[in-house]
Amino acid sequence: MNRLWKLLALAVVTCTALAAAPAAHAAEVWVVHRLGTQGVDEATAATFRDLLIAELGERVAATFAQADAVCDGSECARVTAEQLGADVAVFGTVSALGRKILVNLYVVDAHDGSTLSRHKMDVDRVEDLDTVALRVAKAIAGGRHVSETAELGAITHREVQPDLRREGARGLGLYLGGVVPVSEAFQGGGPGVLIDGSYWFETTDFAIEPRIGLRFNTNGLDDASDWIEIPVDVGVYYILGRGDLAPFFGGGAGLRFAWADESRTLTQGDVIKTTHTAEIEDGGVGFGVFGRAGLMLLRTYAMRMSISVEYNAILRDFLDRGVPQQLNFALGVYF
Amino acid sequence: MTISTRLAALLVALGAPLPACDLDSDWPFDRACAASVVPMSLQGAWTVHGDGKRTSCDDATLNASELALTVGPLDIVQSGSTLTLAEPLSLPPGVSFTFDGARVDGSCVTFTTTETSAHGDVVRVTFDGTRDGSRLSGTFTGFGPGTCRLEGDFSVDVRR
Repeated sequence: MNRLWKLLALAVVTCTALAAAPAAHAAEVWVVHRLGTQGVDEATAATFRDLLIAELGERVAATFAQADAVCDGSECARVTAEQLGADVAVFGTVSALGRKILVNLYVVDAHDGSTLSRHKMDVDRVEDLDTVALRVAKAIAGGRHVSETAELGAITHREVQPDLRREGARGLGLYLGGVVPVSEAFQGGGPGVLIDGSYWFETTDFAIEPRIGLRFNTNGLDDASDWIEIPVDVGVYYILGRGDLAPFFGGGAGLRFAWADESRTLTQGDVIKTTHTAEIEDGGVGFGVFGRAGLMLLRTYAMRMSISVEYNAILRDFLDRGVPQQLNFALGVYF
Repeated sequence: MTISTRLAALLVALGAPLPACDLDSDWPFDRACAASVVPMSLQGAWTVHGDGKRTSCDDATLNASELALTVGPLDIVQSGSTLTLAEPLSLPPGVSFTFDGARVDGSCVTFTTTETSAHGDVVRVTFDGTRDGSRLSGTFTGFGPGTCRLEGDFSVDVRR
């Protein structure tokens, strides 16, 4: 009896240990097969597989194994993976088609042989296979299409060539938007519009932008109070992302040529009092500063857009009402 | 003289404007307006109200196509045909004011006011008007501050 109890206890401990074992090794095991090749040398395909495993390793919580077998179907991949005790199998080909190199990859559930995802990408030069490895790994890990994984630094030469995507750019920018005076100066003229032109020079993380514009109130220049502003300045921005939605912030300084007027009731004299409505004008050049934050759209494309909000101040008194301060809202297009 | 000629002369005579007390006018019977008015004292508290324009100012903000003007209140004393301030006004330091050249000629009244500001700016306005009971109205002309020229219409409320 005593022996029976010992056996029972041993069985419970063993079962508990076995049950706990999967939890201790929760990470999946992925096996990446040797890739089939057609018109591409084996060394290139092997390098690509190594890069792919490295990129997947950074994005998937799994243990990776390599299989020497070249599989051309899900069943082959499943069987091989099952033999290696893997949960997921990756197989595919690297092929040459004319001047293109095609990468075809399948991700298969090793337990039932079902295809989890399929990824296809082609490049026009072998040097871009590292980018393909990065993009495909991101697509596999994120459950996305490879076209959705484009970002600056991960654009292939072929994607740049059709003048659709690009690695970095410089070009003309055009902004249209609204201006809301937030200080007493210019407030009499009310809100206005801005039409700014710029030269946007963009690197991976930064952008520099010389700019000139025309801003004016929209309640009619023959109205009682009006303002016009011509900014000439330079801004520097830090871009927080490399994808197609990239926040950015920065600021700059420059000159502001501005003019404003307003109607005032003037009373003069102590005994002989005269009262009239006068059109008071003020204009000149002042030093201007601004801070700006926004969101770049379609950043990986040749034509990009942005939406932004900007705080702008002209460091000069206008109409004895202090420093004009404004909030500018703009939609920008870069060509 | 035919009947038609006489009738035309009569119509012209009836249609002619009544004598006005415009001292700048060539109308030969200006001074005659005094004889038709029963003299009445203008003594009392005057407040002059005027509407006009100010032009030719070096400081363009002072030019005005529509200008409101007030003078007073002034405590005016009449002695015969002379009008004077009852007593000097209480004014801020450096400011002076004079009421002079006041003359009553029947229904016609002329007076000039001059104010000098603490900054030395002089505004001088001459009022030419006719009175109707205790009410006085007419035109004003003047200058100042600086190169400004003033002109317009005025009226005076006299409170006794």
